[in-house]
Amino acid sequence: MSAEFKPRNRTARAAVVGNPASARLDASVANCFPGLELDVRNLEGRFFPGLLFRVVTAPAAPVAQALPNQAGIRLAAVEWQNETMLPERSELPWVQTLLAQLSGDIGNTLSDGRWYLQWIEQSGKRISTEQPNGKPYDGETVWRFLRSIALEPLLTISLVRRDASEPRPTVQLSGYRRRYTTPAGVIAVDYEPGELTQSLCNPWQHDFRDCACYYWASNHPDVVMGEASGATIPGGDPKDPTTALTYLDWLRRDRSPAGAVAAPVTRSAAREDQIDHFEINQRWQELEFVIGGREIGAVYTPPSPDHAQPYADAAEMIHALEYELAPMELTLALEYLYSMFSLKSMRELPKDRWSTLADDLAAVRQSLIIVAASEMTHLRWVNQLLWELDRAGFYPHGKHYAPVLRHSAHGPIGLKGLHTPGLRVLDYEALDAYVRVERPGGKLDTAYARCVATLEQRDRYPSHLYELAVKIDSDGMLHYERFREMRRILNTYRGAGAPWPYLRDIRLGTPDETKVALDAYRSLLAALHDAYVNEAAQRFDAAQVAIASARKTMDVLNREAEALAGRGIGVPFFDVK
Amino acid sequence: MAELHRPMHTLLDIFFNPPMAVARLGASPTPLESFEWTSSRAAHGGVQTVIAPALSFTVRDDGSLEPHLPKSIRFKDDDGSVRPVAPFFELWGRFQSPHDGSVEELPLTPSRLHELGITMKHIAIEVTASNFKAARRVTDSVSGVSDMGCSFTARVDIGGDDHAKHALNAFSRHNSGQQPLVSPDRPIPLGAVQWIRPRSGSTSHAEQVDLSVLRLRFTPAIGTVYGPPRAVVGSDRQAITGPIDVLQLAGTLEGRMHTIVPPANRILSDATPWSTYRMVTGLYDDPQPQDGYDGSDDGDSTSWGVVDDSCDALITATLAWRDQRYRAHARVFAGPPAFAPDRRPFYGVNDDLDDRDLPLVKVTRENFDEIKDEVVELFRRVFESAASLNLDQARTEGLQDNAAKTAATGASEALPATGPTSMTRDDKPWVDRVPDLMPGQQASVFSTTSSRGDSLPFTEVVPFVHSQLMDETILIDFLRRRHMHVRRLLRPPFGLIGEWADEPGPDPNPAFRDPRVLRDVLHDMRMPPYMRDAYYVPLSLTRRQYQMMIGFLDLLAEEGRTP
Repeated sequence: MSAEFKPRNRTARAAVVGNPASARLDASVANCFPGLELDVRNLEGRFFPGLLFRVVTAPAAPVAQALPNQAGIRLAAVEWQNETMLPERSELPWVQTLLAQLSGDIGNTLSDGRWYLQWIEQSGKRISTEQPNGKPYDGETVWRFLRSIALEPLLTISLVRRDASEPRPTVQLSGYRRRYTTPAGVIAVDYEPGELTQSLCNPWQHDFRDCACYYWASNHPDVVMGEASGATIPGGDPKDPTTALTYLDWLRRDRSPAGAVAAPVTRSAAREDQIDHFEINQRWQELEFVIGGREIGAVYTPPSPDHAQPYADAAEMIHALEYELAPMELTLALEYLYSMFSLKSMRELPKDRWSTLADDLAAVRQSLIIVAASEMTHLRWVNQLLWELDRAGFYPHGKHYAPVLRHSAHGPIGLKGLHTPGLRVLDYEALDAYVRVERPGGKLDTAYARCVATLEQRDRYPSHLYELAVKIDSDGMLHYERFREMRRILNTYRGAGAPWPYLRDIRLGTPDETKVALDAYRSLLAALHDAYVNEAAQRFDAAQVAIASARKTMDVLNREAEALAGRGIGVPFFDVK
Repeated sequence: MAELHRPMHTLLDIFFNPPMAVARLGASPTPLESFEWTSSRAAHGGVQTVIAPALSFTVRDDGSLEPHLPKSIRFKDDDGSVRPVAPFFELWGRFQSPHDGSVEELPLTPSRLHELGITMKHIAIEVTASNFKAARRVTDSVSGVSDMGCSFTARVDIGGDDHAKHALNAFSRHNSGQQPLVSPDRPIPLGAVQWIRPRSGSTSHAEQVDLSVLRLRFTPAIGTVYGPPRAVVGSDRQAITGPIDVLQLAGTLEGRMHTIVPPANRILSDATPWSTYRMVTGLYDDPQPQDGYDGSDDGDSTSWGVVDDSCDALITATLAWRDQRYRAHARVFAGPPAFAPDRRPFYGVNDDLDDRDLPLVKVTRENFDEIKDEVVELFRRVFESAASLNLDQARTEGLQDNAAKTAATGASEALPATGPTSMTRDDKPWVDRVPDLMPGQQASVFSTTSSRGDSLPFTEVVPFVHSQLMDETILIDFLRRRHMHVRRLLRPPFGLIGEWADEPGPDPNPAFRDPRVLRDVLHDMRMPPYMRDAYYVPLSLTRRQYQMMIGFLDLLAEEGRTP
């Protein structure tokens, strides 16, 4: 078994040969309403040795013959025989006292009538199951009380008989809360088989269709990407960008291409197109298994590891990072930002035609925001990789890390032959250029793959550097898919001819015209410089101050650049060296 | 005579490994092969958890095992049948060494039994598997007694030299006055168990596995449903409802019609209380959730009398040595498949059990590295859960839940917003990246920037924010820089009774929650956001996880340690 995924204690100890990881307890979601494999809340039913409780919720539509006053923690049974916490030969005084009580008059008393937990006392606090107005707390609330009882110190409970006349009789008992798992790691045998699953939905398929907890997405996904059943790109994603990027409802009824539409944004909107109750009883095996967030067919075959050519040494890699990759990240970030500002705003759209344009522009703009933000993140990560390499002693002698915050739009640096940097509107030429530069297997992708291959040599480099390089490398895949999707979306308007309906008419502004924006950009670079220097020196508080300043400045830049673009002026970012 | 003087281990105890496991239903006769979790080695894998095929077993005709290492994992057969997870349980012993009295844990094998002077015949296995779901529902509110005639149980006894596969055919226990739901003449199969025949001598993969270890295999059922003869066709409302079905929609029949139970499975009695059960009437002590049964969503919510073939089972091994009986127990829970097997929950059953029984974690300089690994693991699991979550839907529902309880509040330094401004630009100082990444989101319980081509804007943002935190270097630097923000952003867990006030006031305690305080049960953007827990209130990390995080953040803040 993989050493990095070792089970940490006995209850998670399912690391035996022959068992898939999904047989482990840490593969099952807990704290659920009510759960899929077991309902851990059932443990609290026997929190007190010798007694079985059941939590009752007030009925929402009581019939005439229903008993009043049902909500609360009801005593279901007195079960002291064979109670593992009350062995008859125990020398503990509290055990003998409790045994005598439950096997004698008190046990008999509790076996007649409707008894409910009245209060719980531990560590000097007495928590009543009744509200200040005298009404009992409802089932869901009081169940949480039981969950909040500690193993120690000694606990005292009071029970009251609700079907008796006033003054209602009460009984107090003291003992220690049950330890639910034994030293061998198994839930105590006091719980009968069937007891731990008794409150799950019946059939379980009913809950599978319905459950509203939302965080069991690790086992029962809400949204997935569709299966890559046709042509794929390196990494296995579908070649069709819509299929690659669209979140589908995993519970959709129609699993043909006719059902492959975006998951709705609310549960009620999704309901009509989801598999129904009863239907799921028969069809649940049609639900797809999901790997990497994407539906797969019946079989999963692990991909072969990629093997790019490592750099000759750390110095060559550092040079590539400093002079090619980091500057390229900033260059691309600026290009994408400039392109984003070239998109019309909602106010500028024609009202009498192109009814699809508002939605399409919103989607493209949102994608560009994410990609541009991601490029800035890459810039930071490349800088982080560089300062970590310095800290680990891999910089060439006499040289140390300095922040790389320059673009590669001029001069001999940059990925020559691949991409010609330029601040351009998001026309179709630009989209094609962006798709090319982000292409997996392209030069940019290969450069990072070479970093990964270099740092994968674990006998030479610390593992955390490899992981960082992998992070940067893997992010680029999504950019490629996003640009292809943007191109697909905007192809709708290609037939209109230039000027494209979605584009502003923008020219590159002069430094004077764009002074406020350029000043903000310079301040942004200065703040990032400070942030990286401080982080590299492990002055984290100072780094955070600088990052906060950078983000505020980015806000200013965005507002100013958008305002300028609305007047047909683009910010000449490349003028700032 | 020489045997009397040969030092031998003393058996102290026996136990199963694993002590508890999950079996997963599936109709295929071939169990799912084994896989393990590991980190992606692919260049585009991005430090994610992936599954890798692992050494697997086929059970031979004689009940022994044949190991193999698969190249791929087949989750379904060609006919679409899901392959079940059929876990193995190894039987181990705790021994006292004859040399120094120390304690060793060793798997039991025939040779180890021989060393003790016993054989496989000195072992007996008992397995009891039950489904109590219907019985639990029909718990009479007057007597408080569950009608166990609506439960069904299978029990097998297996001798230590019996290596046949034994079916677990369940039927209803009942007293003389009760009607059994499941007749012994037409039982419900809950799966099978097999006490594996140990193999010794030269075998394949011998360096990786000892086939002579004593093992038991539990195979779950196929994942079907059973019902009475009338459970033929039902219609299902399209609306999202719940207990209000009984009040507002009783008597309405609408929606698509479907077969409820396959014809061959309509074998149950229709004369039990399970066939007339209705939720929220006050006649029964309903479990929570109340509407979790077939029939709750149509007509007047009368049950169709349907049950499934899931169960939980207790496995007991008894070993006789010298004049003593030794017992080992294991439990198995049979549920649905884990449909995203490379994704792990951040709040697992193990965490839930540990949180009840283990002490809080104290973070010190000495255990820093170990805790750091736990923290990195937690954040990876957070990503794995969050990456397939529909955050847009969850946010809308959480805020709608709040609106049903009380008026919305805006954000303050003390607490985030509970209304339409939650997780928007106005939810300061709590919100961080979302306004930059979703600048158009208005103050609304709905995702106002949802559009064609970008239908789930909040959901899109989640992987962007959380995938970055899967890398240890990036994560630790982030925590070091933003320790105050992360501290504040973690929703505190519920406290212990000993921490609560006897009578709570309206203001929440920043260190822990109290279910009697309204604000503590409202959804907001603290992490994890908009998710419901087992008590239908906002989810938090466990107390242990939370204290571990706070302790770790405190140490990072204090020391500025490097990873």
